[in-house]
Amino acid sequence: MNALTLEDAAARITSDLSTSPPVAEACNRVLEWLFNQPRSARAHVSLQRLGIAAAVTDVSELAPVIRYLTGARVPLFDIAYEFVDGETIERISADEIRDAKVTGEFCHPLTGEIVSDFESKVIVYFAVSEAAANFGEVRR
Amino acid sequence: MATKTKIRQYLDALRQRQINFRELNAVLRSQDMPTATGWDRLIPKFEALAADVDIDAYENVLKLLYRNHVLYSERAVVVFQFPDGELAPMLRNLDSWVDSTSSFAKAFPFPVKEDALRALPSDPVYTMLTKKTREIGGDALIACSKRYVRSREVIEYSDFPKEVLTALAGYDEIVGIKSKFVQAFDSIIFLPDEDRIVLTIDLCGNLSLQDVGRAVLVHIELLNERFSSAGFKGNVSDLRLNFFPMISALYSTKDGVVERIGHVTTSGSNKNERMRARDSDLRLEPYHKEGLKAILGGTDLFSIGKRWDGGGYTIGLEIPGTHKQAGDPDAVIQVAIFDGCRNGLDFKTVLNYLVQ
Repeated sequence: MNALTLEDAAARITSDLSTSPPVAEACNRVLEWLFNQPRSARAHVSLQRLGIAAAVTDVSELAPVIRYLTGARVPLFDIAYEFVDGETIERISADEIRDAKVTGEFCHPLTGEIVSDFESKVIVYFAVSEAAANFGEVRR
Repeated sequence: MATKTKIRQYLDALRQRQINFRELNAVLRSQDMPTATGWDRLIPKFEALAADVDIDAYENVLKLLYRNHVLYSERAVVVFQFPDGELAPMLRNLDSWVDSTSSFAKAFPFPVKEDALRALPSDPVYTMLTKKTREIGGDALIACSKRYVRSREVIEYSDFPKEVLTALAGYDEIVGIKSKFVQAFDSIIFLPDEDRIVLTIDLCGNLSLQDVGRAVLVHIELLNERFSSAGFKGNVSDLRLNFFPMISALYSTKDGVVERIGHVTTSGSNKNERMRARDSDLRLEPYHKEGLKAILGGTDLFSIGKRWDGGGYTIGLEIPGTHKQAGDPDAVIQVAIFDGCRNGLDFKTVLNYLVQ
C-alpha cells in the first residue's frame, strides 16, 4: 500500500465527495485531526472520538464518513474489534466477527466456550491504517 | 496404542482446565492438527478423524500440552529460600511422600470425576513425583487437591418463566453465583543446588488472591510437618522471598514490555494503568510518559505486570500489590502470578526474572 499524504487525501475527498459537501467537510476535519495527532496516539480511536474529530454527533451522519475513511480511496483507518469481558480484553479479527454473524455463534477467544449475547461484549474501534501510518510525519 | 477415547480424554481435561483456546489452536495448527473457533466445533473434528491419521502422534501432542498446562500454565508462585546447604539433606526420601493409592493418583494425569471429587478431603495429596524435570532442573512433586470455586455468571432472560420476568422488570442484567469443586494440580519444585523451593498454586477456577493465600498456608503446614520430622528447626513460612522490591526493578529494566502498573503519585492520585494490547509497553505510552514528566517521576509503584517474548507468544509475570503498600519500605508481597508459560523453559525464564 502506498503511503498517503495530506494533499493526496484532501484532493481525493474534494473530488470524490463533491456531491456530499457535509460528508466531505466531516472527512476533512478528521483528516486535519489525524494529521495533528502524535503518531503514538493513533492506535485506538473510539467511535465517539471519531465523531468529535468529525464534529458530527449523529451516528447516521458519521456512518458515511467512516465508510469513506476506511474505504479504498482514502484508507485512513482500519476497523478493529475487541472482545471485552471483565478483565479480559482480546483483539478479535474481522473474520471472527463475520463468522459469528453468519453462524450466530461466537466463542470466547480464551475459553473457547460459546458466549451468549456476544455483541454486547464486542467493541469496535479504529486504528490508523498502514497506508496512513506515517501520516503527518513528513510535514513536521 | 492411542485411541480416539484417549484423545477425547485429553481434550476434555484441557477444556475443564480452561486452557487458553488461542494457545491451544496455535499449537494444534503448528502440528497440522484440527483447529476450530471453539470447543463445540473442535471436538467433533477430532471425533471424525480419518482412519489413516496418526492417532499416536496426535495423542503425544495433546499429552504434552496437558502435562505442560498442569505444571506450568497460570500459576501463583511462592519461593522459599533455605539457608545454605540445609535443603538437600531433607529431600532424600521424596519418593516416600507420594501417596500412590489415593484417588488422585489412580486417576492421574486426569482429574478425578466431579462427583467423586466432592467426597474427597480438601487437603493436598502428594500424587506424583517428577524426577529432575529437564527444563527446571529439579524434582517436582505434584500435589492434587479439591478446590472450591465460585463464579459469577449472567443468567439469560430467556431462561426465566414469564412470572419471574415480570418480577425482575427493571433489571438490565441478572447475575447468579455458581459454586463447584475443581481439582487443582499444585506443584512443589525442589531446587537443592539453589537452596530453594518453588511452590506453584494452580489457578484453575480463577482463584482470588485470598484463596491463593489460604492454599499457600496449607502447603506450608504440610512442608513444616515433613521437614520437622527430618530435623529442620525453622519454619518454612519465614523463608518466603519478598517480591515487592522487584516491582521497581522490573519497571526499570528495559527488557520485555510493562503491561500494567499500580502506583500512587506525589500529586495525590492512585493510578492503575494498563495497556489494552498485551504486546504494548506502557512505559512508551505518551499519556504515561508525559504524566511522569509532569510530576518529575514522583510516584511509588505497588504492582506490576510485565511480559516477555516466548517465541511467537508472550509469557507474563505479575506482582500484585495494593495501594496501601505504595512507598512503604517494609511492604511485603510473597506471591507472584505467572501466565502464558507453555513449558518448563518458559516457566524457568519467568522465574529467573522474578528471582534474580
